[in-house]
Amino acid sequence: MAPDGDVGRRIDRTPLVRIGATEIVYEEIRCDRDALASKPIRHRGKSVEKACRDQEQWMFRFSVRRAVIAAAFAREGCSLSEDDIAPFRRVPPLSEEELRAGAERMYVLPRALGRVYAGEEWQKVWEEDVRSSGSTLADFRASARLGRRRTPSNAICRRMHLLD
Amino acid sequence: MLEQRALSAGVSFDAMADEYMRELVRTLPIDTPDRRFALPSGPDVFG
Repeated sequence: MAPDGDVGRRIDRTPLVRIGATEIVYEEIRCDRDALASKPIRHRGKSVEKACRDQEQWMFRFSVRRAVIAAAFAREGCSLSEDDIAPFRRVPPLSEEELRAGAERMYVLPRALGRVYAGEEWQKVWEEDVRSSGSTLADFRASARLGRRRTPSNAICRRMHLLD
Repeated sequence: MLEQRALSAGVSFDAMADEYMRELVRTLPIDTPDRRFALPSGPDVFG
């Protein structure tokens, strides 16, 4: 069954694969086409259908790997304790303030490039937005060249310019 | 358990873990009633 809109949508429990005691159904890996279609930056030039298909294939593989690991645990009769997991957790967790500060630092460059793309002078933008971060004017200009080669970053800058 | 097996066999832990998972996948009952999606194969299944 091909899923369509989310409102009143029928849950698709078509089994895709059974691995040991685990069954993976379509609903677990389903891509929300409407949500993806509303965010062009997330499908990066692919059609919504192709992007969703790729996303579902990725989720399918992820679920299969998880099921295989679960089967190994069942076979060996073991489970993960909190002590096993602890080294993989972020320690200490970031506070909301730290998270906001980190996000703000990451936003400096795209926002500044957005201003340049909008027609402002490199020097002025660098002085006002970038210099305090410790980046030189040359670094700032070099980052723009990188941005042109890397389509997603470039797309972000252009979108920000449109949003400003 | 895997550490001991690796030591006994004189191989690295990672090599033993890969072999364990390959053997597990070979013996697991895997049924694919719907083939819309490709199963991962080889080392891809552990990645």
